[in-house]
Amino acid sequence: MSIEFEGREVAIQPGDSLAAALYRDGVRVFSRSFKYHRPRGLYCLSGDCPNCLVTVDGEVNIRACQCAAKAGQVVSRQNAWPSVDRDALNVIEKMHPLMPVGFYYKTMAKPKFAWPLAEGVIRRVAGLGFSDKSDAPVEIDRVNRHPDVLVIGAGVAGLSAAIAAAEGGKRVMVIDEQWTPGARVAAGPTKEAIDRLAATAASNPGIEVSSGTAAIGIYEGPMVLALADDHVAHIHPQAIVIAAGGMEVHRIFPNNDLPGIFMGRGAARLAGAHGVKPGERAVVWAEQPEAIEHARTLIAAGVVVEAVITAPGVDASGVGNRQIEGSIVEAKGRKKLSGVVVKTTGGATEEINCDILAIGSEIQQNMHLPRLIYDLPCILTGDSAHPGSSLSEAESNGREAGATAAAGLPLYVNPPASKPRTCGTAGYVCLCEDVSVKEVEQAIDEGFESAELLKRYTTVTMGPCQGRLCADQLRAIAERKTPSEAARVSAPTTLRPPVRPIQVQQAAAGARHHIERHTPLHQRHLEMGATTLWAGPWKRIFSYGDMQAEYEAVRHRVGVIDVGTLGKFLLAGPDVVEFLERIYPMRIADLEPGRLRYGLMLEEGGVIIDDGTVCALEGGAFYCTVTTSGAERLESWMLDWREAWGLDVFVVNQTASLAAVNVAGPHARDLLQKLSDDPLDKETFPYLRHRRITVNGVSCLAIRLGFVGELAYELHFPAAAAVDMWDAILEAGKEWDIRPFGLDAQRLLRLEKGHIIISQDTDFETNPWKVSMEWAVKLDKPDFVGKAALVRAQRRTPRETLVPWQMEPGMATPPEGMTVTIGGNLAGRVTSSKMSYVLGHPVGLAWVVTEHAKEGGTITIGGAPATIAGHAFYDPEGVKLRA
Amino acid sequence: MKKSYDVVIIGGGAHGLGTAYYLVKNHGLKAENIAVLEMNYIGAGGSGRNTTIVRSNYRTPEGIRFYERSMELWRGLSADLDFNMMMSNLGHFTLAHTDSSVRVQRERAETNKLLGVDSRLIFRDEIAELCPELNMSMDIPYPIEAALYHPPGSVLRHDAVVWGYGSQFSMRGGHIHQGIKVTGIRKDGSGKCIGVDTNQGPIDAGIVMSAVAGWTTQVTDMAGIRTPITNHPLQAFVTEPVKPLLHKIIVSANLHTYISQTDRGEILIGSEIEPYTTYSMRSTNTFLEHSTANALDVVPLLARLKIQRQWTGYCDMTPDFSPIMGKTEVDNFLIDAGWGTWGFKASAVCGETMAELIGTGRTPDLIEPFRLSRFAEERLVPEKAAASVSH
Repeated sequence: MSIEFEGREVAIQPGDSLAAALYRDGVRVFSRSFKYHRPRGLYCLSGDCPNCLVTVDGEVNIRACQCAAKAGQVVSRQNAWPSVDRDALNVIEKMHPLMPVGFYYKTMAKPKFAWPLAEGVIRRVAGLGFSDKSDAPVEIDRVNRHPDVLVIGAGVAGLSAAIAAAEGGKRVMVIDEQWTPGARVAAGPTKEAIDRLAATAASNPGIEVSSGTAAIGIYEGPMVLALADDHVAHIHPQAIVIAAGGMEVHRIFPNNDLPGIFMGRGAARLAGAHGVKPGERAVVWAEQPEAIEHARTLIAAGVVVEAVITAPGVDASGVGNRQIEGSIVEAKGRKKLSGVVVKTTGGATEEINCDILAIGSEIQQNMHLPRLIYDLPCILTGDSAHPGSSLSEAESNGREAGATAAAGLPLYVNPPASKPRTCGTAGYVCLCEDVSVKEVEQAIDEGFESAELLKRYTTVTMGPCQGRLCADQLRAIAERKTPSEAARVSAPTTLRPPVRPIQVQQAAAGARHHIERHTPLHQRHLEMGATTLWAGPWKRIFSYGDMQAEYEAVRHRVGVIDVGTLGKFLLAGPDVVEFLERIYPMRIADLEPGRLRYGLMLEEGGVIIDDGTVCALEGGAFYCTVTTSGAERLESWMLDWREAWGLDVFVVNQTASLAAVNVAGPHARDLLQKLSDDPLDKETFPYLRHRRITVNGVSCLAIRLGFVGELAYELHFPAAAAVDMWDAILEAGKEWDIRPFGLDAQRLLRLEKGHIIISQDTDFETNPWKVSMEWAVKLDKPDFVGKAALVRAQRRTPRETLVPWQMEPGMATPPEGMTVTIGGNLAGRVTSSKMSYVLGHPVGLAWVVTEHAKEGGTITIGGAPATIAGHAFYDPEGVKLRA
Repeated sequence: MKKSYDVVIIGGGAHGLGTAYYLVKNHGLKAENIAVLEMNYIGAGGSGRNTTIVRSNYRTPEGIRFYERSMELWRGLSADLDFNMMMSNLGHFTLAHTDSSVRVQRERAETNKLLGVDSRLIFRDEIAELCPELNMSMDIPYPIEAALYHPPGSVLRHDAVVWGYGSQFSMRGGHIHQGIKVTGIRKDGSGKCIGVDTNQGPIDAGIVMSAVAGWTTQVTDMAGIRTPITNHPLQAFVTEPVKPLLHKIIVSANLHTYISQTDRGEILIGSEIEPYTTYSMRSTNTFLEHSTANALDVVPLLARLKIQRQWTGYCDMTPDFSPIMGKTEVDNFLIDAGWGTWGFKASAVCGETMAELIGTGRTPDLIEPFRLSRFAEERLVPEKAAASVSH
């Protein structure tokens, strides 16, 4: 079993991470640092630092220590040229004194041409890996889980909490980012405790342990976003126990970033969990007792521990060749560690040669998850609550947390207030962005005195580690430099999701779809060769291939269009008339059953938001239609008003349950009469009336409207009958060579009539006055939505007015969206334009500044003259639609 | 901190600090008589949370002239402030995926051209050539049909703008006070503004200007002024840095996404404002899901990049998607607000024009259309089609 690493084969063993396999093979430099291209080796082995970011199978920035080695993987290191081992860009480090923090801000500001020249180079040098340009997303599953209690972290505290919660009768889910619980813990008492608790948890049917599943974020709900190997989980628990553990504090001293320097747990992990000997001669810095375990692990792996450097009170007796009370003040070496300088408690300094330094420093909380809690039902336990807990403390504390979660007791906890760390006076604060203590101090001297400003100016905490290592150190430096303002300058910076990196395609799991609504006739249209276009969430029919033929059929014979996408509402109830009087600006109360009215819908500012028809039904109910794109929005809009006014009205959305077709053209009546025994003649069923009639054996609400300017019947009927009805109409219409028509033809037909389309011809400041629709507004009504604004607007001349325009025959039709000019000055814009077949010249609608919006006036559209018309171009008297 | 200043500016963002800078530079006010009060740290609000795009391809003549002046200032600002803003002239694409969107983009292109802004409608072949990273497939729900191409569209380092203005103002002796919260607007018996109350005591001022964007309604409440502003959250995220991958600024109006790559190599992705109003800055997963899904529709090669951080800012939205600037009904209390999703790109011209208003007492022509009274006068400056999403 092997992987391919930069052109050669590297053997892997079961349980290996990529980091372990490569380290065993002799790789010591895993990356080059972001800015100065300094060599960097393994450090934390917990996914907390940026040092082992590699490219795997074309995917950049994979943490080698967190990635399971799998046979056949192609792995390479990043951010170096020509190679990580021999990085020519390392010369940047030699320029270090010339490139202080904020270097780019301070240079090349002048002369103006300098920066554009430099920028290309800087962009190329920045960034880490080369991403695969042929990448394409794959679909990733998203699952929803609903445990009673979610425990994050399968360590001693987490497993104890899970067991206690399950004993309390709860269904418990435990997630942990390791492959198995305790996978990265070296043999010893901690490992034994985890193994014992994991076995207990596994035998409890109320507990599900999902290993290899990382918590990415805690969001309102609560909802925990979790990432597993092959899916993304949305976990919706009643309570969350955070047992995310702790980590050793990043210690800062000169050369603290040299390969060979490990966090204590990292070195122990490599030696004890992966069986890879980290080096030959080690120094262990033991600030707390757990580090003594790490020293023992290293010794067991065959490493000579030259010295254990202890903090006061830590007992290292018998471990390592020497025990020195003191601290490490400097690391020695150029490309890798060659020794450390120890300062004893007594003040003496001594240099000890070694190739490994394991820093078992003070344990701090893994802060990221706890800081996302806000007011959510979470409880912290183990190192998340009490960093540096002993095993027995972690176990009892975990049980307590689990029992509290199971009891559903108030769980809100304040995120722990972390304190600024002690921080050395030299060395690298930030490994991600290569920022030293000196640079941070210099930034403070420049005035960037608070942690938040330092973060942005120096970019400390803004790299891949997201401040895990460096955030508290940054605060410490700020506090040290400006002690008088400590509270302000060292306030913690904000932490945000994701806690662990998540791919863009993983974040999109389950969301990569668009709602596309179809009418029941959609398949029929496609079979007839229709092309479609978006209309809100609907796919509507643009044309069946010959727009002019469709148009001619309607104007001269008969055509049919699917208008099933219209929003359709049945309104009823004791207050229905009052309700409609308030949401429509026209009169409703006098509308007798069988009659209908065109209705605008306005928002409070008097702006037109929709239009449609209102039919008064027998028995006091009303049937209202709204535009295709408006249905969903207007349903909630109406319901909002209903609640606001407290009126007793039912609003039933029938958009999907009813189909609708419009049969239009001089022969529309002849056609329908073939399919219906009900009287359709002009006297019984005139224009602007509706009747319930039976067509093709189906009861329909038939509405006589005139959007396209011809005799027309709009039929509304149950969706299940749609296909039969459509086929029957087309069959019955054969004798007049019927054509189905699409939106393209409909848009021309209505444009010739001068009818507007809301949102195409109107914008979000269009009120009825501006589109000459005073007739649709009754200001003498007591009130309606938008009335107050319209009364105000009536006192002013609108800046622009919508007018119809036409061009001479033979002129090209300007596209919609063209500007209108008068005397070379901007004077408006074209909202609709088409070549009129019946007139033989282009026609359209345009907004024109009101002073020039006069019938007969000349405007210029795209360099060509056009004349403002005064009325509908086609059948201005409306004779045809009243036929 | 002095007890009295000629001018007190509330809000230490790019607008407030810019105004302070131009007051000194263009109008000769004494820097030590100007104070900028910031309740947090400078640039903590929208100035440091936006997606750093500057452009002038707006819809209305008022908007176009205003943002075009801002572009002129941006181009010279690094040299002017001797602070490198790292302006990257990448070029800006507003993609159109539906015929109605094509109509809107054409309208913008034609109006832009007429007013001398470099902006045009381009179609599939040219889009593919200029930006090969885009998904030009026709076999997707929203194929790219056309784009409004605005070559001058750029990104720059937003923090640098705050710091550049701030350091120049400070070096000239100006007072920037961080960690000071304004708690009241003080008025005399005639209702004229005479200063502010703060959590560290009262300050007298000849002129008080509010430049607090997302916190505007709180300050105008203190002043007793009503505005039609609603506060919505807007979210964004960045990926971990990668080598150059995307060479243009991509915006999709239909898919509510905007995408660019920073100088540092991160891919920065944003979305539309959230539909609800709130003063919470918590991030949501819904945003992350939809913005990633939409971004992948447009630029599929982002698939395996890793998200590093998401964040949230406030947008003080106005009904017409244009700002509210200038005098108010309270004498000596000026407002610079309604910055919604378009505040950063205007910060240079805002500083210049608000300083002119304070320095001369006259409202500059460029901002006259943005007066607060326009809502009562029904003289809106409708930028909705150009401002939403197209940050």
